[in-house]
Amino acid sequence: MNTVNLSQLLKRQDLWQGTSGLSHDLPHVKSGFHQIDSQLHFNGWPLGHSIELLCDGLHIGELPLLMPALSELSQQHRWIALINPPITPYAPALQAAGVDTSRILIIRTQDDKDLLWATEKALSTGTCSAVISWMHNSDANNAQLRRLQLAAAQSDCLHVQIHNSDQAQKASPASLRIQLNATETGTELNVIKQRGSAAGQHLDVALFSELRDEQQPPQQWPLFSDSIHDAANHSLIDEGTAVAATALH
Amino acid sequence: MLWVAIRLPYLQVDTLNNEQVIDPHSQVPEPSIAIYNNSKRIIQASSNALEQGVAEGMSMATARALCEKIQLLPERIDAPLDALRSLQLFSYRISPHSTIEAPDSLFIEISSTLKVFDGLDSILAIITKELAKRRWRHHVSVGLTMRAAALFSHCAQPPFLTPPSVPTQKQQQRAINQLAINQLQCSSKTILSLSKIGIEYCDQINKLTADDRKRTLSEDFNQYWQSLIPSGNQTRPTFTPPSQFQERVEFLNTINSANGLLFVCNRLAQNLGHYLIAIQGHTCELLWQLHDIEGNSLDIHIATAQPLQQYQPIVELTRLKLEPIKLKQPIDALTLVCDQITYDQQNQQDLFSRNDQHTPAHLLNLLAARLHEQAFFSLDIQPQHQPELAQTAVKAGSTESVQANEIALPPRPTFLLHNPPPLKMIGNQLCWRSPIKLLKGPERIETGWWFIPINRDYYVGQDQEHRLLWIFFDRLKENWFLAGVFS
Repeated sequence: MNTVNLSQLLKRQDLWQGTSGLSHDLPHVKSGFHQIDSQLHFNGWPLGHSIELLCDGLHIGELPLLMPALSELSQQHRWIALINPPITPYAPALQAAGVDTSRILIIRTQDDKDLLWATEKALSTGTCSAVISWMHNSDANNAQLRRLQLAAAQSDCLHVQIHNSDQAQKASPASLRIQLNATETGTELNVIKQRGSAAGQHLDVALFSELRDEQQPPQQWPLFSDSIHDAANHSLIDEGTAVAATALH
Repeated sequence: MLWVAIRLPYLQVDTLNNEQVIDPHSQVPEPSIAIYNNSKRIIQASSNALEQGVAEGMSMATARALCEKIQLLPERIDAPLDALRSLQLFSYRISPHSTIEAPDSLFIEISSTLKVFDGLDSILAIITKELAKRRWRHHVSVGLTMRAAALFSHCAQPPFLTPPSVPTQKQQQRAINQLAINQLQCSSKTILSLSKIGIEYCDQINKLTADDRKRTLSEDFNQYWQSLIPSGNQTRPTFTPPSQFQERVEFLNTINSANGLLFVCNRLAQNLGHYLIAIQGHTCELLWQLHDIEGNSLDIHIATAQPLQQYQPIVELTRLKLEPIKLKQPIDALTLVCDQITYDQQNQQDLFSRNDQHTPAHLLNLLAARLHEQAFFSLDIQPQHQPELAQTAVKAGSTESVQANEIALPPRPTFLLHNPPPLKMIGNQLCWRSPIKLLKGPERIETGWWFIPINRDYYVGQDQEHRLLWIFFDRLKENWFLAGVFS
């Protein structure tokens, strides 16, 4: 065998080489969660690769997981394309997480064809630092997903596809596939595929932990009101909070 | 001065052929076409018609007899002039000094731009490449005066072209002297009178003294002869491009599918690109008009997020616009109009000032062409207490960079529901899909007393599927609602 040709082949990033082929210092963005960065072969979310997040339910738990990365990527002068999110993300929450909301580009498509087209264009034009596509209603086949993977490979952006959990049983060209499950403290991540390394990692990532600690009700909370009434003299303990206090127990 | 003459003797036919939707790579033969005038005589014919014996001055019946499949079309008076204007616009990239001479010639004075383009050969290469692209049969020549260049354009082998060289006055005179008098652009009466006195070649005219010429030859001919010789009082016309671009193409055969128009769209877009480059302008809006055989026209507007100048993005956006269109009637003409031109340098900057091949606006242009304007948007934050009003959807790219708020605000959900669904209260237990346990709260938001008052207490809750929810008790409606979802 011609060893020169073999060495050239081994340099190709798109050639699967078991656990040793893919370099650890590939372009990536820190996920903002130590557990994820340390367990993933890429040391964070890989750039220029398709990532699949598989989950059930409302398909809205994934975004907080990506928020620290989006915050970093929004510093680039490029779009963060959110394609077909089930609900429009709330800008004040994005801003609070450090995301520059002027970089956010929400795209709504009518059908699968446009969804795939918009995703591919967002990847191939090089105008986006991140492309997140909600594909839970999509019937994209393997060839179409492969096409997106190729478009991602030619870009330097974070490409995340969000699918239903039942897609886990199907083959996918994505470099990284993670199953997400909601837990009482946040999200559980099961890595079902990662190119260049073994899969099977189970991670528990705490999300909004400051909100999950149950407070002792009722308690004074900052009053955000532009009422002509004097806020200091306005008691929070009234009918509404009384009902709430009952509900808290 | 140094003039380039471009003579296009078959514009009537060549513009028709070029306007055909012919894939240049396909093996489909070009149609045989001939153009007839009011006297029903052939005035121009396509190459393959000429090969079959069709000739200028022939009757239509004879042409049809020689070439069975020939398409005979009436003369289009404006077509050659429109084509020449289009070429003049292109030539503006080379020199601002040019003039059209109907019916078939364009003259470009290039002495001031020779150095810029690194010599005559480069300029001639640019011109011939463009003419080849347009597939116009042409004769190109150079001369020290406009009339000399025009004269050489009628020669079978124009001088100073192989290799291209700038002639001296003597060299040009020598080249003229070698020509037969019937090659001069004079009336046949003048040529006849010259031959009557025994003059067959220009050399013989040159040997006459000025007095002899004045005495023996007409005043018109003397003026013409003087115009062949360079002098200090030559005038140099200056071309000013029009303030808007409009070009119409009529098809020999009608076109039934929108995709079939792409070839012509590509050429018109290229011409628009040449125009914009020539005037150093940009455009954000252009209009395609598809004229069908019943005289109706379908307008296709293209608006871009960023001013464009190059033709490639225009072609790409046009393709996306045309793709979904299903034509009701065959199309027999196409017009491209661009009258919104900006010269503002600031408009040429990228949205986010990034020097990439594709700017962020490029993606918006593509989305606008394929999807509809409301299909993509950005988010803007408003200084409003009411959560639903704290965010608005705005035109993508219209917002300024927003930095994180330094003042820590109470938590806000990742997704806010615009039509908060009411929650059920089963006993003392709040429910939405599953029972909700309250974790934090309340945060009172009381605002809008001057408009639509709201008075709400917001809480963070968690359902049994571990979803973190933002819910509120509406103190006016006395009911609980789901405001949003954290995770």
